[in-house]
Amino acid sequence: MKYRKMSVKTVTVLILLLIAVSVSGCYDQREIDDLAYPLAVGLDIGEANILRMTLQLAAPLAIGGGGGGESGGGGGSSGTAETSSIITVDTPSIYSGLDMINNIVSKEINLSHAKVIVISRALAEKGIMEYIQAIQRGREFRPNMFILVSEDPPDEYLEHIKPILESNPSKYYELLLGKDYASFFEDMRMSDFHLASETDFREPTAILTGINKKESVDELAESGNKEYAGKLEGVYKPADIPIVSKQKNVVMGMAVFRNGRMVGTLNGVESKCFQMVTGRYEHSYWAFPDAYAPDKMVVMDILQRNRPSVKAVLKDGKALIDIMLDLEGDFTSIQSTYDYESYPDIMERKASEIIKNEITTMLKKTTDEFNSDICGFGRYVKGKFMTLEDWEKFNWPEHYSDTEFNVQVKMKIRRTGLIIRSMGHKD
Amino acid sequence: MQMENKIRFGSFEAVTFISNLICTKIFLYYTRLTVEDAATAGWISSIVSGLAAFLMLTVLLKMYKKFDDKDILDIAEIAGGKFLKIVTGAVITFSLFVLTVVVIRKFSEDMKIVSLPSSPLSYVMSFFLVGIAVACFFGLEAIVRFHAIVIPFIIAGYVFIMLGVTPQMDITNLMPFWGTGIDDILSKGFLRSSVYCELLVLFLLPPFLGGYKKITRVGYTAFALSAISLITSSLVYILANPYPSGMEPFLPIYNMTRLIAFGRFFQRIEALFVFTWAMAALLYLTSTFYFMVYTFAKTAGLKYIRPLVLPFAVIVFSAAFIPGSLMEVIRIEKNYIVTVGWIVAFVYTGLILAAASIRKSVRKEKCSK
Amino acid sequence: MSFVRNLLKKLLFFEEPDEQERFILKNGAASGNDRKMKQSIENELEHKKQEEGKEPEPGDAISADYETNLEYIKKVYSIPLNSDIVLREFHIIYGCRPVRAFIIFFDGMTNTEIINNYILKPLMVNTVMALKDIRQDLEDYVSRQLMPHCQVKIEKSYSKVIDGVNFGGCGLFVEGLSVSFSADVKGWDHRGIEKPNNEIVIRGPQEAFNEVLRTNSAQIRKRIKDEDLIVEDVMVGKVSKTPCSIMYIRDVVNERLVAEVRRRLKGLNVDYMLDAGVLEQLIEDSTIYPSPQVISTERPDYVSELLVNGRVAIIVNGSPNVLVVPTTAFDLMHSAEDIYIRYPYVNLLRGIRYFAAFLALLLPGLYLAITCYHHEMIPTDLLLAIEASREKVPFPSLVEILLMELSFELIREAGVRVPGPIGPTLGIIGALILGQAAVAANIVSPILIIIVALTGIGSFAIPNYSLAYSIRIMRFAFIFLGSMAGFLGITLGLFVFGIWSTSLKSFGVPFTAPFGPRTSGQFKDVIFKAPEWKQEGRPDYLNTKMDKKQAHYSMQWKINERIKKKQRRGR
Repeated sequence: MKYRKMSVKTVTVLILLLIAVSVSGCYDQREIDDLAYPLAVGLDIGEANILRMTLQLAAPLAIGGGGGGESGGGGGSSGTAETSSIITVDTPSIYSGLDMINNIVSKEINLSHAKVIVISRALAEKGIMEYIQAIQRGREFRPNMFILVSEDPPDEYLEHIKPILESNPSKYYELLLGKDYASFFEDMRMSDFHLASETDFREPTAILTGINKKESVDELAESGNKEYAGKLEGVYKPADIPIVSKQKNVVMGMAVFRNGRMVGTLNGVESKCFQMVTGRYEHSYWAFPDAYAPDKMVVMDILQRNRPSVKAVLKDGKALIDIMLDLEGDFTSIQSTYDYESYPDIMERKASEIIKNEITTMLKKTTDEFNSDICGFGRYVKGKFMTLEDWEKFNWPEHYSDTEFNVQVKMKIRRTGLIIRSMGHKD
Repeated sequence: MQMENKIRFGSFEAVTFISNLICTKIFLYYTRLTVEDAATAGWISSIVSGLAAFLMLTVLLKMYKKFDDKDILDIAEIAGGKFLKIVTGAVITFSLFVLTVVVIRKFSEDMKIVSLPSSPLSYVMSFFLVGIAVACFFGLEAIVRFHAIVIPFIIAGYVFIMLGVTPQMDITNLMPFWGTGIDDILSKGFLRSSVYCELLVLFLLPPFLGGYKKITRVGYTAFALSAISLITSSLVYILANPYPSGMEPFLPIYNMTRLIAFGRFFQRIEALFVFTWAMAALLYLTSTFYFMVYTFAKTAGLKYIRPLVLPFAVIVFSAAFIPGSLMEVIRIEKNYIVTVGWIVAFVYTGLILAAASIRKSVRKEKCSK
Repeated sequence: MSFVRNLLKKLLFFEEPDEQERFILKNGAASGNDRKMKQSIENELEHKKQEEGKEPEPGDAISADYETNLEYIKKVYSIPLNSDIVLREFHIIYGCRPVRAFIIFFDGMTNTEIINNYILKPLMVNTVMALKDIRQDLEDYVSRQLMPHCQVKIEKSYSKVIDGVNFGGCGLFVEGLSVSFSADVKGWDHRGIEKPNNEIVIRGPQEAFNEVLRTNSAQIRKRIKDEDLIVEDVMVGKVSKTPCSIMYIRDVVNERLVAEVRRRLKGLNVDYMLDAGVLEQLIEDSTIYPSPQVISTERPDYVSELLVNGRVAIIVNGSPNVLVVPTTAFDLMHSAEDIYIRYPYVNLLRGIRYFAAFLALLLPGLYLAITCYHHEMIPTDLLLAIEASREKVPFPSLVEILLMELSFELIREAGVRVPGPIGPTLGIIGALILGQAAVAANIVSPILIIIVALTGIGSFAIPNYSLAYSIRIMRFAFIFLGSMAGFLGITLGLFVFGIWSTSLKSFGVPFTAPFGPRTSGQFKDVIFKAPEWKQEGRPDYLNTKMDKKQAHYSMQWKINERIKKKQRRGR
């Protein structure tokens, strides 16, 4: 009997509580269609105020309207409708900007689907640490947002984002920037950037991007110099790359930061070397000049299966860093008649020589030009100290410019594609 | 207390019960605390606090041997009569009260930040309180059995989080190896054995579990389980977050969960872990709240605890609003709970046990004369 | 007014709870420390024997006078107002003189062939022929020689004869005898043994219970041909006197459990108890808990399987559903087919059932929680698609979901009552058309149709009918909680429901038994099922007398000589 009494009491109390709670309203409930979702955020130096913020808002009817089925008259099913709309505002800070935009746009801005943050070069050179902090503090921002530095102003850059192969710009960003078979830039995320900028053993980098304004192939000849011909394919800046396409934005290279300020750029090939040294390189194609016929080329698909082994030795306050890379190669094209498949070690040596030179050049650039430890060698030096005090006294960023590198590249050519031996062709 | 004495539960339930009490703080602040103490050697500090707690626990259990089947309040009565029983009861009730209040405030703020930013704090807190009140109405048996069912799932979720951040783990984050120095590690580590202060609930369990053997088995098993969880959580956190940024986040585990991303689809699943945390929080709060009310009733000699549940709930609710801001709560936690907790849990219990055994042997001598 | 006052008093003031102890199924007679319990079956045997030999009450005794009996019977049965009662007076020749006698029976409830041929004929015709010297007692003579009927009882009290006649018996009163003869000549029209309607299996017997008590108990008995299978009759209901049977296997089941079942059935102070559904509500532990606490089934093979494991079955006359107690939460997700299909399929089906239960309970609530509170969890493509389709819908999500769920329930309920072949088709087509039309009219968004359909299908996949109902109710609670506070609300709902479940007992067995209180034991059929040759032990929480029902090496044909030798040596 007592249980029936108890449950009447409990039930009544619960019902009263529920009524009290639901009468006071549900505070955070927001319908999906009451919110606007920016897919990309752009930051630039403002003229009317400190910061110029650009938002690329998704237009759901254009993107998802085809899926409505019989819901009459969704957005256009063809790609002619605008899939996003750009808003630019000059504001003292990011959140003030959101406030100002909320007074114009009909729906509340929700940043939880912003995939990309584009920072202009000018702002990056001035210093962006304050904005990175704000972004890390906000719960809505995705920690794996891509961070891009753009040579052109972000509002112009975002205007040019008109994806052809997708209907959804956010899918376009994820596919473009998140893939592992492209190597001219590193897949750099906001959380990574933030961590690297706070620690003293590593400096952050960002993806370099720009707009390629070429409209027709006649303009290709102007791009770059003739001396580029035959050279490796990555030595371009985004705006110079000799490509003509409807897609105007190009991602190539990396921006190097020191103490929250941008101090320089790495081009495509240098980014490849950077990824090899940090162990984040997957695979890509390198076109090497033939060892015996310098005007012909041997194209190989270079992969890195094992992480590089790095050893650091401290001698009189200078660090000596040994980097041992282990690469694999597959022949994809041998243009001359030489039988490299039977004697791969010739090309192995040549290729490792070339790669070693490129890497050493890149590392020298970081010590001499940038003075910024982007590869994170401080991690290995850190292990030489016993306590945090000693490490902080040593002050690694000051000593980075004295570092010497010793790079060794070991390459093994494993496969040759479908042809096991090229029988030569009439020359 | 006729009703309560009929409640019995087994050692599996008791082990999950006590482990949950100790391990819930992983979800709140523990890993950040270790990094604040000893930087990259936080995990060594965590091992030190585990060892210290283990030693103190062994001493206590050895002293407990002759008091088969009595809980700490009865032992206090043997030691110093009704007065000491009331003092012990008050100490235990107050410490459990402080724990409940701080944790309920922390978890409500937690929920506000994670999923309900604009709700008023009382709205979020009322959800927890309704859960606590209803569970206390159903009784200890139901609470403990529910622990036995749900804790394995919470452990699975926790293991999943730990495994999910493996791509971000880097062994060089542990260097410099000794962090802020050995003396810091040892001293702070010893103080932080207060994270095991919920073990004082172990000595309230004998009427339900029965017997010295069972209590020792439950105590050691629960301790081992929680120590492993705490140490691994600290280790994984330090591996995944390089030194200065480890001290930044308000919710370290939430931050780690945000980083879990496997491919394009499986991203930002931290909302799923709201289930794990909210359930762990509800279980923790129900346990401490129930034992607070139970100790109060037993000290005051009251027979039924159901009428006490609602008033205590209201008191806890009001007390949770005393700290004005979140930073004050964090400060209270750091300066008082994890610094002084070991004294209340281990030293005080040890004194009571020692006094009681001395009294007992004196009485035995008198009897034998 | 007094109701309001009582309610306020109940809320504001504390009342001491009653001293009633809840029944806990402790370890049974095997422990041997409770002599009284140990002999409960013996007690019951004694009790029944005594009842049979009891002397009747003073006002109830049959008198030897013919006229008194006749008047009494005519008064009790309101003859001639009651049109279907038949009173036939005749003579029996005893010695050389005729003795008056009459029989009384209900037309339509009795098999008149038997009455004619095996009661009236021998009494009326054969006595003329027996001209031998009769020194026997008339009572002896009639019961032992003149009534070639297999079920005849000699009664000393009116009430027993009247009970017998009310249930399809025939009462014989003879002049000069202060006893009456009650013959069981039941013969009303009833349904034969048909296929089960609600628990359909693909592999397995296709017999179901019908409404006759003896037929049902016989169906179980013919499967378990064990002399220790006891069918204990209990009468429930003071006026309806519904015969119920408690069935259990005497050397397996825990006697305290049987005693408790008996106690609950005998402790019902009701006038009418007409069906197993009513009985279930009268003997269950908690009325408001959503899920059922007894298993109700219409398949005899399933009942036999449950009895063998140490449970108790209750059959109610007039109901094709048999109740089996006790049950745990996980038993409600088992179906009768589980022992007939192979190990891989069984586990797949069990997994699907649990998934279906999860969908049916939580899917609408989770959808609301995610789309209203946790937008970051949805992949961006899906989010924008949902937003595009919701653009034209005027209602907020909560109202949308409630509309669709309520209309789905409406269609289901309506489909039950539509006659003929339209019934099931109405359900499916109605749902489809309604859904599509609602989407076309921009009342709901298309994704909601999928959610509601999945929820409905999930609830159909749950084997136990009552459990499906209860999940349908609880999903509304989760919808509200999900819309109030997102995942926190749903967690609170799961927490409260979980604690409520673990505090519940079903006939002394904790409702979440193998996991709630951790019991050891070799029962391998809780969530996933071990193969049949591994099912050695009975469930530990039933505290049966015999723990094992299979040898460790149950497939003797598989093991080789070496192990056989070891076994023999081990004995």
